[in-house]
Amino acid sequence: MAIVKSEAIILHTAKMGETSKRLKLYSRRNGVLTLIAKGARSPKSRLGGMLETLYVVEVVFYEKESRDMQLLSQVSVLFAPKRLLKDAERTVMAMACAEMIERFETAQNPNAVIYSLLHATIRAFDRLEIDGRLILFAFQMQLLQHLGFAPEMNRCVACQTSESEEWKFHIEEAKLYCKKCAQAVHSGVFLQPAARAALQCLATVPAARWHTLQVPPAAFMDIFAFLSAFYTFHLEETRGLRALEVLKQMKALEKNTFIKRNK
Amino acid sequence: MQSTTQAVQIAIEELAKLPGIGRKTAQRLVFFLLKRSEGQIEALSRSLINLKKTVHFCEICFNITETSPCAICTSHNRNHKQICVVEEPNDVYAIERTNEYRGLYHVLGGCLSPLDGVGPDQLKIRELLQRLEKGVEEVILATNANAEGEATAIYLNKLMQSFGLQITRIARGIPMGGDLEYADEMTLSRALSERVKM
Repeated sequence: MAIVKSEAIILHTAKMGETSKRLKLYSRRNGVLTLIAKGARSPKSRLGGMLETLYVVEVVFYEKESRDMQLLSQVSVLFAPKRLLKDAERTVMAMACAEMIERFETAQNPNAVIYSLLHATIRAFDRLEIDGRLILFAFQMQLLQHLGFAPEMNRCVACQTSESEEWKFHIEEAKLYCKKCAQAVHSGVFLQPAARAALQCLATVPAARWHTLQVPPAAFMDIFAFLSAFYTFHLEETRGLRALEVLKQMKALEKNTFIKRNK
Repeated sequence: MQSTTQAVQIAIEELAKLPGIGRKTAQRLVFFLLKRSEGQIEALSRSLINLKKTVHFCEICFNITETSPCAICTSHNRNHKQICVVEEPNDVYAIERTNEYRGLYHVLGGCLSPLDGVGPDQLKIRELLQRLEKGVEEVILATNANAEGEATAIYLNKLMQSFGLQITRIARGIPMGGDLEYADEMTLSRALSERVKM
């Protein structure tokens, strides 16, 4: 049995037995890991307060290859997104990013670039001045790039123009068409020029500069529709992301309560 | 396993479904039960059947009860202007053991857990909002002190802002009898940031 030390992000925690916790982590060196934290839910435990979803931690665990779940020995917190966890909506959006990593088979193996992207995304969510939706979109676009599914958004595939009053993206073919060439294309998602420009930025601007992203509010719907359709068709694992469904329910109840109270 | 009868095997499998009980413990329990008298076994099975038949959720607070509304919701000795919101019925029992709280409860049936697909539609949040229309003055949010429990409390606080109530959250920090030296840094930092004036 080897003792392993690794930096990791906690993706998911679940109750186990009377007082223990089962943790799913994304580790920089080991990919997705499942650890058992014995007694972590007991008030006397020294581990309990440090094992929360989205925390960046350094864990020490006993590794036995024949086991699916390894035993956690020690933990120290490297980054706790305290401000993020005081905003329920941002928390759910950040959890959606964690859920994507948890679901992708390709992300189960160690990948320093994807690890850094998730780490930077959690830190960005903790900076409350950046719009949470933009962080989620940027994470989704950059994850596509790292997984090798990046959509080509620079020019029309048919006439090679980079200027158009409106764009159409054919989801199945993953091809972008200008307004003129799109007349011969029957299905796809319409994109206003501002939404297309924003998608290009979201895919390339590094996380350290996400606070500079400027996206007109009118483009949000286009970007959301595009990313939902693209992910649903090309990445089956992300179909029906639970966190995003919960976010939808939260917003609907908030809206209903607001309407009811202001009648 | 050919050395045991089918009835024993089924009993072991059923008991092993209970939380905290593995196959070995289930096996020990079955052999213990086999040594008891028939009357004792019947009393146990009757109590389990009755449990499911007679225990329901209270139509007001969603705590477990044999009569709906429950004894707490109908009591005249309790403060009906105060509601303590908890995740599970177990939490009601934990708070009742303190003998400190004399208000009513509302059991959500869990907490927001986005990664498990538990959102407001799966919890009794709408029912809580309906109760607030009936002269409630204070809501105490007593969800667990973890990321999900915290998110639930923050979300409920946001939803209830327009009701003009006093909304409070149970305190978090060092457990009674605990030494500072042994507290983890996250608990200690929370205790410091939420310190109270003496």
